[in-house]
Amino acid sequence: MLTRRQLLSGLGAAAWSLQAGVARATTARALDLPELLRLSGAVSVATPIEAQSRWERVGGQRRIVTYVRLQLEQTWLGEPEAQPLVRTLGGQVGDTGQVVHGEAPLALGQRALLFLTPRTRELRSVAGMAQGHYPLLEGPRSPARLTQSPGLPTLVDVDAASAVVRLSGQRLDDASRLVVEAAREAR
Amino acid sequence: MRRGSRLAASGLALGVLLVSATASGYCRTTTCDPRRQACPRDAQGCMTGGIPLAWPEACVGFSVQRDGSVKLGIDAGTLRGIVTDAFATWQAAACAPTIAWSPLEDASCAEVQYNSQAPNANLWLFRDEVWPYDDGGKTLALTTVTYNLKTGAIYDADVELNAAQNLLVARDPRGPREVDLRSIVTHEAGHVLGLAHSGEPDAVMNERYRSGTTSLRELTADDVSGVCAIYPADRPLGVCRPVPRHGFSPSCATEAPLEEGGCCSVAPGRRRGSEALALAALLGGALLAATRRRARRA
Ligand SMILES: [Zn+2]
Repeated sequence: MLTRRQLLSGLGAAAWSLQAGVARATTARALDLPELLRLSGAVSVATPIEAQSRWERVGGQRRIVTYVRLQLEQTWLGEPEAQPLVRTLGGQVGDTGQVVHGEAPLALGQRALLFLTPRTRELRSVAGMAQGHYPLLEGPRSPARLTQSPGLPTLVDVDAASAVVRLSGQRLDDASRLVVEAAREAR
Repeated sequence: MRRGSRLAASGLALGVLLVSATASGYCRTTTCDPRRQACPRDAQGCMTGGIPLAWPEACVGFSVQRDGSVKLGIDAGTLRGIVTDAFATWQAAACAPTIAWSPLEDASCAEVQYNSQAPNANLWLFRDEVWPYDDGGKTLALTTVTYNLKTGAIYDADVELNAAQNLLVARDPRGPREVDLRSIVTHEAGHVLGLAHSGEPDAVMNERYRSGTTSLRELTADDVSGVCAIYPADRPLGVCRPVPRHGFSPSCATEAPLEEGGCCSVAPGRRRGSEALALAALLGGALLAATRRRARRA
């Protein structure tokens, strides 16, 4: 159920996104928060600290992938892990670059709220690709707020229940409450 | 509150959110990768760092996968026709963009790949059975563009269409569950050409689409401006030879060794060398542990 408060915070999110420009690609159905949580093994605030790209086989395809190591700051759901390793599609090796439109662009040094898939073979990915990535916009005197990922795909059938609508523009503590509540409902 | 009324109630919020995320106007995809370097953006949200991507050739060939989608009942010829029409839509822009697309032989393989030494194919394919990405099957189409990061020249582009979890239709959609393949293909063709998303609400390259509609079939003035900026009449061109880089292979020939060297980047303020080595060790450790576990299971 959507409460009035959530709708208002959606409006806040909209206003907030005026300041946070985006450029993104590919096409995906908008995930709602319970769907995003079902894909996730952990929800954490983290900062990418290192990245390494290489050619690798993913789902039978030979691709460039980029491994990103995160420094975890808070874990809201799932097992805390100090420095998880996350595999993202695309990257740059030698003179060759590969952009996979729709993947979460985990910018080095950029704090973000991340929905991470359960760990498989010591690795995670960002759940829902860029729909599970919310960079934090931090002002000198204002609290950090979640923004939409600049890698967000073209979203099909976005509505007020969509995770990107519910979370973008939220302060961290409000986002945490939303996520924990949604996880409780999703169970 | 039911979903329908919830949607109506939130129409305003959504409209503002998705329309105003960028003030207006097309954006180009660039070589800047935020996992490697800082990628500044302008007021419209367009990436200004890096070199904008473009196909250097005047003519480019593409292939469709020969099985089409058995699940959706869309054969290769139908997909080939839709992709041809979509590129023709872009090519019909008023400035007569200096890039022409032609269909090559259908591909027997279904791989997204780029060979740095062997022949290639710019492939459009359906995934009928398994969608191999961590997105809950919600992605309708995924475009992978390979480029030269020193020049911005596009080498290869492959588009995967998710038929495993979505009802893509080759005719006009008849209800809200059906997704217009022609709309999706026209949008993805814009990415193949080197465009990112646009803040212009009605543009084909805008970041929203409502299923059941054909709203992304026709270019707007903003889309036209975008494609004309990438492929203006006065750009230098060679002869028209629509062959993929290093020749054409309809069978996903692969030659290059899997390892072509990695490269590292480290967040500002961290010591590069030692941390990069630590990551390599971590990655090695993670993969080794996984391999051992697999071996034990086998
Ligand atoms: Zn897109």
